[in-house]
Amino acid sequence: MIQENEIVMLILGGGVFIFTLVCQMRIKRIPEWQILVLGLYFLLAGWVLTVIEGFFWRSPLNYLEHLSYACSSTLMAVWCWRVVFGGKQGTKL
Amino acid sequence: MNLIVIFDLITFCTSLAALIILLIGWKCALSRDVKLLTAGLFVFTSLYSFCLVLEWSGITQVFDPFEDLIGALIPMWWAFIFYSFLQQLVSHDLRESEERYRTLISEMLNGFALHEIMVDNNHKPYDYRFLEVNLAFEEMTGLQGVDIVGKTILEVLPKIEPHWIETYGEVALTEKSIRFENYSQELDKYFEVLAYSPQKGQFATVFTDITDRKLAEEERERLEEQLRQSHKMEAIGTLTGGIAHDFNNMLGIILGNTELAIDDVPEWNPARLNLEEIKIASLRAKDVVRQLLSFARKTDQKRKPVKINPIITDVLKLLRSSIPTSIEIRSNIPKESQIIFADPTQINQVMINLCTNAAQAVEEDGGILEISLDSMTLDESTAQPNELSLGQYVKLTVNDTGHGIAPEIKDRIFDPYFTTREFGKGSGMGLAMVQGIVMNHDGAITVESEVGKGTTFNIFFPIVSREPVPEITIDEDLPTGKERMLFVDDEESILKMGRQRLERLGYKVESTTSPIEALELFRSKPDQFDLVITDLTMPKMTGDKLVKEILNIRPEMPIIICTGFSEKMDGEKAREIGASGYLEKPHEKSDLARMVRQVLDGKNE
Repeated sequence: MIQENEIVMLILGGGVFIFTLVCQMRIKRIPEWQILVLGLYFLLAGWVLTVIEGFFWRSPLNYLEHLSYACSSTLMAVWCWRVVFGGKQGTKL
Repeated sequence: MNLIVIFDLITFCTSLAALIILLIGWKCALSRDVKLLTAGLFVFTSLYSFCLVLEWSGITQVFDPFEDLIGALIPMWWAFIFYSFLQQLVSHDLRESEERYRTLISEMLNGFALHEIMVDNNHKPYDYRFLEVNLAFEEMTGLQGVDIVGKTILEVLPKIEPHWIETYGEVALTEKSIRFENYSQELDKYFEVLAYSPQKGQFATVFTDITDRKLAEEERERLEEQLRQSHKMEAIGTLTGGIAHDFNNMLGIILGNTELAIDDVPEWNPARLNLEEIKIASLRAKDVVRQLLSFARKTDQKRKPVKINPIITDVLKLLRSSIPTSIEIRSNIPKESQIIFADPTQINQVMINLCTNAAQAVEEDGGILEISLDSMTLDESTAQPNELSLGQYVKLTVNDTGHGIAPEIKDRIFDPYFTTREFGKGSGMGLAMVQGIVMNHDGAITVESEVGKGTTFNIFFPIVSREPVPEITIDEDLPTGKERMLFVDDEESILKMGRQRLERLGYKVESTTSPIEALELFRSKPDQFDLVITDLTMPKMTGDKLVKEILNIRPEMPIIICTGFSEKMDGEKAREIGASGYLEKPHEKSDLARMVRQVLDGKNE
């Protein structure tokens, strides 16, 4: 069953996704941007899966959803570590 | 515990870990906004995942609405984070750009200044303000940026000419660039200035110190001018050489006929005195031509120890007869004469030039021309300004009460070709020649003048202790002879005069104007002549060729070459081609008589 808040999250997440596409040249100047963007995309994947699971394959997609959240936050932790304690990519701001 | 709960726990723990990492490394390079937003994201993610753990572990469903709210905020938070990152990037780029601009401007070797134009109600520029200057500007101008930035040009340089404000105002208002060269009297430097407008109402100047280049250009122009003068002098030399030949020929006719006339006119006849004057003037004219040639070509001059007083006195006599009586001539010449090492003819020239100029200056209204001679000892204070050595000098002063020399031209009066007279009434060479002669005599010349009051020339000649060599007295009994000679000259007058001279000396003379005829005459009877006298420059056959032809016929034949002036012939060259003697025209009868006798007696000069 689809929940309204999941639709809202998906729409807002879609907006962020489009923003990253439009501003990709500038986003590439963020330190360790690949890890940051990948973390976002895993989160987005989770939001997509939570909507789709309302239609079919509820159980497997549910597992994937939560796995996506875990991957996303893990990547965020790695990004944070790299930026705070000296990553080599991106612009020193 | 099912897998979903495990995943949610991982999510929770890693979010918390990220938050802790961020808090520990709070002083990292991220901006404050980004750090706060990122921390917020980690907090929300932790809370969201905590709610999921509670829900999926079955502990409680109470936080489900809270979970939904946070879930909706998380994407918004992401958007804020990215936006904040981009803002930080823009600020960073701006800072870098400004830093690059500052480095570019400050490290420039050219001076740079940015200004803002100030206009009145009629939009007319009246001042401009300094906005920025670089280090090179400070070094070039001596104005410090901290003292002038924010101030206007009239506050910094109140005496600046108004046209600068107008010029730069036009650049600032029309946004058209200009480039020009400028000399700053205050800095004693030349600058090349480029002025442009980066935005309306402002103008920037970029200027380069081109003093070295300008000085090099001025030096080059000066050297080119010297070269031109040198070429002019060379041209004069060539011209003089060209006319000297003909002029000397004419002088020879005058001198020769005058001598003949003197011989024929008895001493009691008043005409004899006039003839003597003509002879003296002819000899002087001969020297003048020689001096002109030597001036143009810088050939050796004949200097010797001479008493200066008689030279000056002689010139005064000459001047009295040639200067209008409205001009009073005063002289102050001591009885005792000092001795200087000089060429009398050149001293003559100096006096004549200066006195002629002085006479012309007082001509219109009459006045006084005063000549003084004095001797003095120059010490350091008086010698140095005139670039003279210490010692004793004769000071010759020529003073007039004429119109004087304007201050703005006083420095140029000794320049060759400089004249204030109308075209055709003065070559501008007189004072240049005077200065040249004085300096060649190790002397100096100074001028003092006041407009409307008169001019004074002071000439210094070093005194020498050597006694003057007595003039060689001409033996009144000229050497004569009875030999036979052949006289060749294409100029009929010279031929006639020369023949007369030689016959009066006792010689038998055959003469012809044609060198071809002379050669035929000689060839027909080579032994009939004891001496050949020939001109050099003749049509159909030149004198040197005639000499060679004659020597081919009779190798030991004595021959004298006679010429007005020639670049190609002198005593040495005459001997080289086989001539026994060489005479320059015009010459006196005594010179001719002695030369002829010497050659005939076998004593070549």
